[in-house]
Parts: sequence; C-alpha cells; structure tokens
Amino acid sequence: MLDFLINLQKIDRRWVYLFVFAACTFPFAVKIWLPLYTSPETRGVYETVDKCPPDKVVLVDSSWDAGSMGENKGQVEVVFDHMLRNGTKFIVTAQNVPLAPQFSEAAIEALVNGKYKDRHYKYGEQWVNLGVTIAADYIIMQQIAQKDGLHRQYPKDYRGTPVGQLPLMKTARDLSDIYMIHAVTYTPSENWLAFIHGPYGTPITFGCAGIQSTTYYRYVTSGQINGMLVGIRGSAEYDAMLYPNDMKARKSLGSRLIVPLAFGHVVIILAIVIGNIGYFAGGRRRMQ
Amino acid sequence: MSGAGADSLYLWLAALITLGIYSFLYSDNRMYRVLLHTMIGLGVGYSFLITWKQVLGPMWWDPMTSGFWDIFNHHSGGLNALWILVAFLGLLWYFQFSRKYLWLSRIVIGLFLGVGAGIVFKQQFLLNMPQVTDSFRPLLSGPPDVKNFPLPGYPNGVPVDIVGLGHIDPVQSLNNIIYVVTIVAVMVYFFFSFSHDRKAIAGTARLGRWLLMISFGAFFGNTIMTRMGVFLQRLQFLSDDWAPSPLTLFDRLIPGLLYVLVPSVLAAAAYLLGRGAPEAQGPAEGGSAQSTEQSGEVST
Amino acid sequence: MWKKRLIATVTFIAGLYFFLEYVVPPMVPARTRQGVIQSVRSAPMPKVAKRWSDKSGVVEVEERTVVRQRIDARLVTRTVTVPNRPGQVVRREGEQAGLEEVRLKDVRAADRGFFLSGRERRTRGVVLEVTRDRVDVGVLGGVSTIRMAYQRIETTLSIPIASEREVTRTTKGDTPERVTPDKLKPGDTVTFKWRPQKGKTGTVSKVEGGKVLVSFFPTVIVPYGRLVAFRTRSTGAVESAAAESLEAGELVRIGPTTYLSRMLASVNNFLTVLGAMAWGMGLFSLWLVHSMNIRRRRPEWYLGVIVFVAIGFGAVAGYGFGNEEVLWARNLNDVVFEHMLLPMGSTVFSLLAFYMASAAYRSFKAKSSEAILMMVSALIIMLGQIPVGMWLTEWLGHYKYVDALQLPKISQWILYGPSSAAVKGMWFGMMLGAIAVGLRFWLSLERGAFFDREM
Repeated sequence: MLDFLINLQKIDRRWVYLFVFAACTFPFAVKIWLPLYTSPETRGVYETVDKCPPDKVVLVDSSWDAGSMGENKGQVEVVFDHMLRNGTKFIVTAQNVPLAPQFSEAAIEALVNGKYKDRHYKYGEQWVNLGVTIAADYIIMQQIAQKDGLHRQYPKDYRGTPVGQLPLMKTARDLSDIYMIHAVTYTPSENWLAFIHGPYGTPITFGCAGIQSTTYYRYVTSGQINGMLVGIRGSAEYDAMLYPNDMKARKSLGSRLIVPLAFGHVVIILAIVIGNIGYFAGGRRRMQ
Repeated sequence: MSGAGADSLYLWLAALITLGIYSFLYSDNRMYRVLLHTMIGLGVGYSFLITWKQVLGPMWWDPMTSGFWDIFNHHSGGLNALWILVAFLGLLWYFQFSRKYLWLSRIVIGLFLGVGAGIVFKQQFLLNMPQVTDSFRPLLSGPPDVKNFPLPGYPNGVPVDIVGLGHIDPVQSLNNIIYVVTIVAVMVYFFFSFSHDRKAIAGTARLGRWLLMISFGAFFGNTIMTRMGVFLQRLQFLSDDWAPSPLTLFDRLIPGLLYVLVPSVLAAAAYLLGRGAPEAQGPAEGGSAQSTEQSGEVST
Repeated sequence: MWKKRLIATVTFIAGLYFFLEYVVPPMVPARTRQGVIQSVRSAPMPKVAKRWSDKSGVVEVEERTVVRQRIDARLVTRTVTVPNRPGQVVRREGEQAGLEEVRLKDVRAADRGFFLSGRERRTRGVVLEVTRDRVDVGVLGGVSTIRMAYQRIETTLSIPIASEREVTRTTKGDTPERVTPDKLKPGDTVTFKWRPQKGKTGTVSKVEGGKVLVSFFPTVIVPYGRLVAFRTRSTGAVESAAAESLEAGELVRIGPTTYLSRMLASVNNFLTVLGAMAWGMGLFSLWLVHSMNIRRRRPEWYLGVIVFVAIGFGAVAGYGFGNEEVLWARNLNDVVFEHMLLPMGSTVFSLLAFYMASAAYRSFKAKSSEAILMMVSALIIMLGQIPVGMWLTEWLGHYKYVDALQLPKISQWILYGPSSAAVKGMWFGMMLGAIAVGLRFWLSLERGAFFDREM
C-alpha cells in the first residue's frame, strides 16, 4: 500500500494532461449548472455602467487579442450587452494591440445583429470603433484628456473613415464627454488611474486576467477603480446580474466556460492532493 | 471560395492548427515547429502592416507628403514637411544592429528613457498616494459607512472619534488591524536598510513572510484561472464550432468519434514525423518548458 | 566621451520636459485669476482671407477670424475652509432661479451660494473643493473683466462642375461612391483624395455659376494669445476649457500659459511616431537570424524559409485590414486573422494550462509550514473562484454566524484583506525603487553592461 502511495507522485505528466483535457471537455458535452456568487468588484462595474447619463458616452478600451480571448472576450461581451440594453452610446479603442479592434467589433456585431436586432443600432450612431494606436499608453491617455483629444489621437476609425464624419464623434471629442472608462486587457494599465482618474476623477473599471487581479484589488479597496471583472468568473457573474432568473439567456463566453473551469480546477486540486499524498508517503518510507 | 464549404474548410484549417500545436503535449515534433514558425512570420508581417495603416501612415506619412506638396505648389501648410526630420531620428533605431555606430541608437533609446523617467514621477505619485492614504485605517472603528460611499463615506470603517466608544464594530476593527499589520510587516520584510538581527524586527519580518505566503497562494489560485481560461477558449472552439461542422446533419455522436479519431491520427502523424530536435532549438521552441518542468521541486 | 554627453543631454531634456510639465502649473500662478463667469461676449474681428488656385480651376479660400471675448467674472478674493459637518444646512443657487437649502455634505464643486456661517453667512461664495472632512469655499468679490481670444479658420473650396476629378460622396446609410462634381448637390458629404484637401471631409453648400462650393467641417478653432482657461467640474475634476466653450456660471481659472501643457499634444504625437518607427526592428532582426540559418544550411533551415514566406503572406493579409476597396485582400485578411493567427496564438498560450497542472502536481509540496500556508490559501482561492466552492458551502448560508465561512466569502476576504495589504506593502517598496531608478535614468547615473559599454 505504501509503495502504491509513493508511486502516486511519479505519474507521467501526459496522464495529468489527459485528465485535465477530459475533465474540461465533459461539461461541454453534458450541461451542468452550478450556483454563482456575485462578488463586490463585479457589482461595482455593473452599477457604474448602469448609471451612465444619456448625454455621455462610455469608453471601452479593448486591447486584447487571441492570447487572452478566453478571459477578456466575455468581459467586453457582458458590458456591451448591458450598454446596448440601456441604449448607452460607447466608443471602443485599442492600444498597442493591432488585432484588437477586430475582436471587439466581432463581439459587438454579434449582439447588434442578434439579440438587439430589432433595435436597429447603427455603427457611427450607437457605437464607434476607433481602432488601435501604437504608442505609450500614458501618451494616449494624456492626449485624450486634452481638448478634442479623441479626434487628434484617432483621426480615423478602424474602417478608415475620418472621425469627423461619424455622428457620435461630433459630440464625443475628449475626456469631458466620457462618463467612464472600462479598460479590458490582459493587464490593464495602472496609468489610467494616474493620468485619468487622479487628475480628472473619471470612473475607471477594469477587465483583467485572473493572474493580474491580485495586484489590482488594492485599487478597489482604495476607490481608485469602481470595480473589476476578474477573468472568466467576472464575466459569468456579470452575466448572472444581467439575467438573474434566466440562465439560458447568459450567452457570454464567461458563462459558457465557468463550469469547465470549475472542473479543471478540481482536477488540479486533486493533482496537488495526490502529489502530496505521495510525498508524505515517501517521507514515511524514509523514516522507516 | 465562399459558402458553407469554404466555412467548413476554414474551420478545419483552424482545428488542424490547434490540434497540431497540441501534439506538442505528447512530444516535440517537426509539425509543431513548422506551425510555430508560421505563426511568428504571420504575426510579424501582419502587425507591420497594421502599424503602418494605423499610426505611421495617418500620423507621419500623410502629413509629411502633404507638407511637401504644399511647398511645391505654393499652398499654406508647408510646415508639416518638417516631419521628415522624425524619419532621420527614427532611422537611428536601426543602428542597434551596427557594432560601429551602435551609439547612435542609444540617442533615441536615451530619449525614451528620459521620457519614461520624467513620467514616472507623475505616475508614481498620482498612483500610489491614494494607496498610502488608504493604508491609514482606523484600528478602532465603527461599521463601514457604505450608504454614503464613495464620498463622503468611510468604506473602511468610521473612526472612533466620530462614533464614540459605544459603537465600535469588532469585525471591522479586526479587519483594519490585520490590514495595517500586514502592510507594516511586509514592508519590514523587504527593507534591508536596517539590520534584521533584533528580535522585534526579525519577528515582524517573519510575520511578513507568512503573510506574503497567503498572498502568493492567492496569486497561484488566480494564475490557474488565467491559464485554464485560454485553454478553455480553444476547447470551446473545438467542441462547439469544429466538431459539429463536418456532419451537421448527423448526431453529435459521430462528430464526437471524429473528435477522437482525428487527434489519434494526428498524434500518430506527429510521432511518425519524428522529434528531430536539434541543438539549435532555443527556449522559444518550447523545449526548455519541458526541461523546466522536469528540473525538480520548487522550494518555498 | 562627447557621445555619452550627447546621449545624457538628450535623456535629460526629454525627461525634463515631462517632469516640468507635471511640476509647473499650466498657468503662471501669480497672474492666474479664479472666479465664476457672469457673462461672455464675443466680437469677431474682420476676416483675413487667403486664396489659392490650381491649374484645373479649383479655388481654395481660407478665412481666418480672430474672435475677441470679453469675460465678466466675479473673482475669488480669498479661500475659507469650512468643516464638513453632517447636519449643517446651507443655501445654494439652484438650477431654477433662487436659492435652495441643502446639507453642506451634499454640495459639489462649482456650486454657488452662501456656505459660510456666523458673521459671514451673507457672503456669497463658490465651492472650490469638497473632501470628506472639509469644504473649501472661495469668497467672491466684485466683477472683473478678462479678455481672451481664439481664432476661427473656415475653408471653402470651389470646384468647376466640368472638372473630371472625382470625389467620394457618402450618403447616410449607403456605401461611399466615387462621383464627378457634376453629380453633386447641396447637402452631400464629400471626402477628397486629391491634394491639398486629401483626407478632409466637407459638405456641398451651393452649386451655382458653373461651380460646386464645398465648405469643410468642423471649422477649425485654435487658441489665440497667451491666455488659457481651466474649468472645475462638479466632480471636482479640473479640465482644460477652450475659449469658445466658456459659459456663464462656470468656475474657471484663467491665466497666461506656461506653454508646457500646450505643447503636450504635439510632443506626444512626435513620440508616438518615433516609437512606431522602431517596429521594423523586429522584422530586421528576424531577417538577420533566419537568413544566416538559410545561407549556412543549419539544421532545420527550412523553418527560416517558412518564416519569410509567412511574413510576406501576413503583410499581404495586413493590407486587407479595414480595406473596403480591395475585396480579395479583405477576404484574405479575414481568413488569415480568424482561421490562422487567432488559433495559433491562442493555442500556444493555452499550452501553459497543462504545464501549470503538471507543475502543480510535481512541485507544489507541503515541505514547510509556509508552504502549507500558501497551499491552503491557494486551495481556498481556487475553490472560491469557481461555482464548486459555492456549491460545497451553500448550506452554511442558512445559519446566522457561520455564513461568513462560505468559501467564496473567505476567498473574497483573503483577496480584499491580507492579500491586498501584502501586495500594497510590496508595491510601496517598488514605488520608492521606481522613483530612484527613474532618477538614475534621467540623470544618466545608471550603471550596467548596457550603459557602460564602450562607444
């Protein structure tokens, strides 16, 4: 028996890979619903987006691509869903990630042509995608805070249309026209707090990868950011707030992936436990 | 090519790329390295054009050529021709590749270092001063004033001189004490300007180390979620987009079999293609990821 | 030696600008006046017109008008700090005419009214800043006049109807179309591809006398003179206010500019373009490495060929990005991006999930008490982040004092409490380090292999 326990720490890593793969695949085949706890940081984002006045716009800085799609896509989908539901106008930008505008545009168009088809939302009136700027983020932030800064930093939208031609951009010219900023990327820049929130008081919310969230909780407690969507969990919780009674209406990537994530976590926890059982068994053998 | 057939073909292209890269999990092989180099080339070429279209084109080339046109056609606005000077500065970057004139590239690097240094004062003060003020929490406090938050409420507990001793909230006070003690202990652990020989300082540093372990456990937990998230997004593609595509008229069971057969065929192909891992392969190829894994336990 | 001095000078000047831009106020402090605007009257000066024409008969007329503004404002003569007591009631000028009674804690920046007490309760003031503990009130004095100006630039273009030069017409909801001037009518929005109006958008205002008249929007407004204005918003944020946007009732600060902030946009554009020019270095570096491999036929040199072919293919696909005119490029862009780059990038990153699982299995061992503490914290966080944690401990929610022991709540407490505090402690150390290193870079005091290399 002791030999068996000692051998538990010598399993080939490829078996571990296989167990992870199988555990994560299972919920895709069999639909499982589990209860969700809504965290305060997610609620903070929801309440901030909900309070946007009709004469202001929300700026969504969606600077992510394939590498962090699993976490960030859901974080923009739920916020886009909320804003389209409320009729809130928004602008989408990207910094230093050339492929980012296409990802966010695909998410918006899926909603506009799907769930909100009957509202006939038009590009240029309800939302604008300003494309990507390649520059240091603090330079971009300082630029948009200046008068007409959005027009100067993004002279054309991501389709190549001069921004002066877009109805929404005629009134949304710089930071004074922006109600809040939702920065979604693998690691949202802390410069948003230093260069935008600090001097101007604009509410900021983050959508970040789980790995980065641990360092950002201190900004939530100090009030520098109003809320934060943490990885897959954040978008699943937000979706649950948008559709509290209708689980089937939760279509964001976060809601889709939260249960497979749970299974994957359980396998890793079991792997840690099994490894430690083997370790302690080996220690016992050494004492013998 | 268009239509459902083309869509199916593209899905298969994406799925084969995905499974081909996953073949690396079984063993290193040539197919994986081909896909990796293709990805590098595609990414670099694509990003190069995007940068031109989004930045250099509208912000530099168009104004500069307009400026020269204005000068040669006696139109106002010739000042934009000065953008050509930026081109000379921009060329200095490329002297990084020259041994003799390397110092020229240091001019632009120095310029950006200076900009970064100048920015850091503003950034650090604006970013961290609210953090410093937030760290001073009332050790004996009433309950958090959440109704009036953010201003002028007290999210971390109402100070005792306002609520009076009769209204102390023990839970909030304990939370604040733990918070402040943690910050102080961790800072003492990292400060090496004074000696850690004294018992009080050594004990505080030890406490800081323990509290840091809690933080690192939180880091680990969140890291797992991030890494799993990326994998799950690919799994969702394979399961929801690719698996049903070949035989959309049939039950999911048959795509499920394909789901098993195709990876098996690919795995066999990967094995047959052989490892062929020469010494020239560096860390970017993924080889060192395996060796890091097998290097032994990480001591804490 | 002179090379190092040149580099050090460039570094210092670059950092000095941003340092001064942060430290030096945007306006000269001694000559800055703060107050509440009572009225703004504008008087445009005579237009100064510049005319330009080309051989094809296109005529461009640029009219510059200096608009002088007379701003009457009640200036702040002194500042009084009032403790922000919860029960204190003050009178504030409401949105309708007249005064409204509000609690002092409900006032916002730029509110006007009577906020002082005692002998000064009839002294009119404006709220300058509101904090948790105090309210700064600026006592308003008499009306003073400040004169500012801005310049309006309007450009009109006259194109002969018979001209063969095409413009792009955009009608609402339709796709853009290339048309000759004879097809234009008043109200059409047109974009130009020929100089000097290339990329500019205008509206057809008239078609008469054999010419199409186009006016450009927006009318360009530029600052004129040395005075700049900053407006305080009700949230307390201070923002740069354009002269033409000033309105009665606003709390503003007007003074001569120190030019540092005014230059910021241009400096930022310069740095953006200069930074983007480094993009080719990655390409160049790849070419150096792989061309060497191919020339010397090193093992697996064919991978270098694959890289170059892929670069070319990616560049062609990138040409199609946002390109509405060349459809094959646009389609190629979609295929390469969605079905090649995206799967490749995501999948390579996703390999880390498996490595983490096997690394956790092999390396995460409870060898010491600290390791056990880390492991317990990690397990709580992991279970708290996923629905399984809620599923396991949901039953605790039915009991009064132990509901706080639900896994998600413990996880939340760890993240908001000890973990957040520990990270904050680390960050304070890093903040001091960042400032120290920033100073060293700025003053070129840094040492190391890179900085000490012979030039």
